[in-house]
Amino acid sequence: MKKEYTHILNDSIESISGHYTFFEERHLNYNSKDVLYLLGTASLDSSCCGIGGCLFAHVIGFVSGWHYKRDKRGLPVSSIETISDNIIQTEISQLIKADGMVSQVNYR
Amino acid sequence: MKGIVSYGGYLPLNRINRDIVFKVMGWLHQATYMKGEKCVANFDEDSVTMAVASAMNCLEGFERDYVDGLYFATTTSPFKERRCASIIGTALDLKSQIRTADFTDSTSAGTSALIAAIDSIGAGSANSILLCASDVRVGKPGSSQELSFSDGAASLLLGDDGVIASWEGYYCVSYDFPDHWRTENDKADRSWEDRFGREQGYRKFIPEAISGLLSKYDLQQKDIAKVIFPGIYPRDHALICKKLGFEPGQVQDHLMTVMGNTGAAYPLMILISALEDSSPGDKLIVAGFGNGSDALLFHVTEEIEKVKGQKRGVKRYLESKRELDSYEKYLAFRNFISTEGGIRAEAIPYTALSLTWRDRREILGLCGTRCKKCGTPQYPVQRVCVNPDCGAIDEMEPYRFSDKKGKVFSFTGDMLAFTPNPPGIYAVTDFDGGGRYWFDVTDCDLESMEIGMPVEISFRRKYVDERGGIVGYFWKAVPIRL
Amino acid sequence: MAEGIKDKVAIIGMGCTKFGEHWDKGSEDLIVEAFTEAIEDAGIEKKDIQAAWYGSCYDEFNVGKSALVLSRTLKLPFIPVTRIENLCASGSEALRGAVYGVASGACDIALALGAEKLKDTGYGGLPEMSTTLGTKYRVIFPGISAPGAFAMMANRYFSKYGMSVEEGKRVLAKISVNSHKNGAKNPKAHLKRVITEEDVLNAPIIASPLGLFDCCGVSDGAAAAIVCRADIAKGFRADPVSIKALQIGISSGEELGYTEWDGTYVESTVRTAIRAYEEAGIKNPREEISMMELHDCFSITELVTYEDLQISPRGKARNDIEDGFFAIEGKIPSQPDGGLKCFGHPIAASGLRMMYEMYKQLQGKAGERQIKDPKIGLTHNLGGFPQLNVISLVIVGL
Repeated sequence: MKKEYTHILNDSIESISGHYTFFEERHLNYNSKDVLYLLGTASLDSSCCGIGGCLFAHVIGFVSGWHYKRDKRGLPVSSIETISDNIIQTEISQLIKADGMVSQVNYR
Repeated sequence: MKGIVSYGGYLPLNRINRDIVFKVMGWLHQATYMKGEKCVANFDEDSVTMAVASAMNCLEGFERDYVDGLYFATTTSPFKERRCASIIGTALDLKSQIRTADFTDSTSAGTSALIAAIDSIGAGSANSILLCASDVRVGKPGSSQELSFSDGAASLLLGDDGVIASWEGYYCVSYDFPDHWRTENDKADRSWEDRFGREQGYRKFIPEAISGLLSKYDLQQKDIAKVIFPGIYPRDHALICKKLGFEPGQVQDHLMTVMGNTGAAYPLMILISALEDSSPGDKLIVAGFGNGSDALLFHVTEEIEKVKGQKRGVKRYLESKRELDSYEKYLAFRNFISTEGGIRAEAIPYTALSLTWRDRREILGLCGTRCKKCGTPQYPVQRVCVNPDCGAIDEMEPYRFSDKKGKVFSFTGDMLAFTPNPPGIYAVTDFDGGGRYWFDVTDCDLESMEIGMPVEISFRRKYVDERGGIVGYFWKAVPIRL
Repeated sequence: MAEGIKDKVAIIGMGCTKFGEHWDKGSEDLIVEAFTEAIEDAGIEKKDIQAAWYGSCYDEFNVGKSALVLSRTLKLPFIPVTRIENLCASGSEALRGAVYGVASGACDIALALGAEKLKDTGYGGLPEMSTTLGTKYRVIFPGISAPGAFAMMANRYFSKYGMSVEEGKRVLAKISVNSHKNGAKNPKAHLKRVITEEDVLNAPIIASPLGLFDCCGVSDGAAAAIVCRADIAKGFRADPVSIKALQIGISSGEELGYTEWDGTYVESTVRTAIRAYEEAGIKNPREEISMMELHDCFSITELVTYEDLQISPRGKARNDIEDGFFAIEGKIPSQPDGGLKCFGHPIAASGLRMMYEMYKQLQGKAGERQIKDPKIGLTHNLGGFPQLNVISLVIVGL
């Protein structure tokens, strides 16, 4: 599925049980396709039931049009092909996890 | 005829490539380099839990009441005082009227216990003895032992009926040889120089025991199908065999490259891997090494054909593995680095030992109950039947769940629950044959979990209370490995 | 069936503190705040109270055992005061004690108060589960946390109704968005922040498949109710709120010990709802109930509760959620105060906090969040796990 992605980082998203922030964009070459993913850090320090946190990856998708326009705020927007195939997701997750940094890879 | 009636092996799922260790610690002593990989017990495993795992494999197909005695051999007992053989016996749900003993303090403990077990049977004081040998060996970071030492377990059921390899004799040499030792406060081995242990011990005692055995029973090298002994120094292993006059085809693979030195369990683990490939009529010599050497002679019988490929021995476990890609994780698992668990992790409540004693069969043995009226298996132990259409009171009989397989009813991977190896995975499990309970899941990646996944139950360390020196053992679900 | 307590007891005053991380307040402070608001609201004096029930769950980390903390803090004059604990339903249990006390004729006016101070433990979240399970179950239970226990229900639910994890999470996200929208308008809420579906879906997983916004937080807080005989209630105020039903249901252990339960609903809620509707004389809950405060400790809990309460058909809550049925302007607004997602969960205070919202809504005093002309409100308070739990349902009306 095609979608637009507006490039924005360092917004802290707060929940009652913690908060998370995407702080870095990264690229991964997968079968000659450019995978864009975000690195996020989360602190789960006020959940009702425990304490934790993680460094996680959030895969935006395959880039089909990099910074092809800007939105009203002047932020760059890319055109993205989302990744829904389970096998491809698993493979990409393994590649992202290979450096031992992130504990979870999520998709949209 | 007395001898080996059954066998079971166990290798923990985790392997660490020695290159990973060497990349971090190799700068210290470059000469320690060793190829291949070694087994790493998971954070919730120790010599006792792995002994149980190998024993469960060994006892598959046998009534637990068949076992008259249990000998446990290790150099890494979790306790200085507490008989591990009794813990293992309870976990296996053996009857209480059995003889038990722990053999320890030397890597020869496995072969020593084997001789003692055979003697017990020979003396007529037991019809069958279950021998479990297990070790979780640690070497100091940066040492050659760190690269060679490994974790694993082997169990042999010894008896006088249905023998797959008959006992033909032994030859022992015993020396107070100071190649390595540990005192009360040592976590890892101390050792004299490697060259000394190799030249003056390994290269001398093993040939002495094997030659002694050959001449004691008037055997020629050509009579022996396989000679089996630890490859602690792989180069010297080949030299010894050559010097003793054995052809390469008569030498059992010592598994040092793919498994490592599993201490007291080592000679028995490679004996099992030899049995897995043996044929009726084969004569096998197995020798241990540690403060001397015990050489033992077995003769494989026709019965071996019945168990071929049926048992979980060693070979298939070698293939069933998961790469541990972090040396630091390995150090944390073995408590070489102390990690921050947070105040929450420290708030472990006390263990009521009178309760765990009272309910030992239920907790250590994972025995629940089955309703005699409606047949519903249930865990934990119930006096009132959980089946809403039954509800019978005190109509229960004991029912062992540890040897039942099950399927994942539901599961999750939990980022918040405290565990030394997050995420904490747990699952409600429906047992084949009835019964439902929830368990921690171990030796498993969250990504591979799904509803309906088959699991079996594995004896593990549930928690360790450092303040009280208490290890809480219980059972966890694991994906079926073999 | 027994005749029940319908319209025998009424609430004439309620109080609720602001919920949040009260680093500067102890249980005693929270108790005084909730109590003061309640008696002022009821227009009574302390001496009018003849008996009291106090709910607190984590006494060991908090104020100790017994009801002494309540009587000593409020200087209750040697009247009967009882401490009650029944997991997360402890606040509702306190209300039940007071309501039953009045209904029995043992007293005319009673106090129910629940308070919990959780921020003095030295770590986030509730105490390690094993500390609360008792000496045996701590050994044989897995290292479970509440998000994990409910996550298992989500996995079962998605699996049974053929939803992919992505689809399922999208439905759950709408539940969380709804609560946050309401909570943002509530001055007493811990978190007042409107969120987007995007915020929810981008968040990391806490216990698969539940993410950060699917789980409630930890807070300190207290809430209180003054109840009296229904026939004298109008003497205190023109708009007392009448108890139509009050039912508790607790697991028998079948869910986890027998293999009938399929893990996609909460058996205790199903059974308790049947009893509560019968007690209240409700024939068609989807038509008769005006609003609900549910125990939305996790989004999946709220979803299955819609079905367990017979509001949505089995497996179809999704349609109602997507149709806005539970939005503040929908047919049965749920979590009008923001729910546990915006209030957090000071255990024994939560049940009474839910009732506080129903009470204010029925009286038309919910400010910006006011629901148009509600007749019947329902609170659902859940303690424990889907597999083992305590459920309280209270139905109220004018």
